Amino acid sequence: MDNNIEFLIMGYVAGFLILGILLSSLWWRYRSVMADEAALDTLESEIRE
Amino acid sequence: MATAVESSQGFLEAKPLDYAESRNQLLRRLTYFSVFLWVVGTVMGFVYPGADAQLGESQRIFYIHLGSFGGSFVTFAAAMVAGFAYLRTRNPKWDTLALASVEIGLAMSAINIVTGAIWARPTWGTYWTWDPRLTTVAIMWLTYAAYLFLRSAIEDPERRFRFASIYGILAFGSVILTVVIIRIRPDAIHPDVVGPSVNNGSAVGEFRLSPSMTQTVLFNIFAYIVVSVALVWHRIRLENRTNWVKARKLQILSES
Repeated sequence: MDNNIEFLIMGYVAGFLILGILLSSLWWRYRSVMADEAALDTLESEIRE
Repeated sequence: MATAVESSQGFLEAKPLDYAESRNQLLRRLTYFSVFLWVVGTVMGFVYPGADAQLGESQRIFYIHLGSFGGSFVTFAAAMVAGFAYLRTRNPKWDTLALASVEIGLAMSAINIVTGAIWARPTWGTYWTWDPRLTTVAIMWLTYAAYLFLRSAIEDPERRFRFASIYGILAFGSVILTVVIIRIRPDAIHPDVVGPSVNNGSAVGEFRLSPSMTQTVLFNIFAYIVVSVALVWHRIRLENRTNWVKARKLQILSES
């Protein structure tokens, strides 16, 4: 029986990598929108002043 | 045609942070539960069932391969249901659900395709072949990838929502086709692990599920579905916040 363990590892690494890219993308976009929100708060308070 | 400011007014009515605490708690619990299921499912795939006699350890890829397909099937189905719901109610929240579902479904589907290709290498001697199942799954992935590109090209929100709803409904045909293709094409080499098969011995890499394998497959499918639901919910919140910030930007610009 051929063990094929290298393909098992490759498969799981690839799967986790895609999941990691998805999570990173969500996190990065969340950080970006939070930064925009903070900038808008500053801008709005400056306009009011 | 609705202007961007008019169509975004709805998002200014409530700050996305103002979700009911019970909903925040539910999302938090769902997130922890999904992580727990995913970890247990992954560990289970490595230690609970034995390796297949013919395929060796690479057969364990099927637990992540089938699980991720379960996740993509549910999310693409949600996009179809959201499409019908939008056309009926014209409420943009359904479009947000469809968008979030397609995005998460595409990632799950990518996991499914890539892990399948890696499993195929030692089994079929190649990473990719134009087998009916592989062809339909490639069509399915491209169809949903095109959904994201095409919807972003439409500026008018109402037209975009309407187009995306109809597209999301029709695109689900590619998911159905992917599921049934190995049950109607006798020449498919993709194994039909679950359910009856019509292939005449053409499948390569077919294996019989032992009880422990069945339990692991079902557990992983459930885990990936729960993970997908949690991710869709987070993606919806991100989209709501993004829309709210965009609407605020436009409001500040129009006032100044």
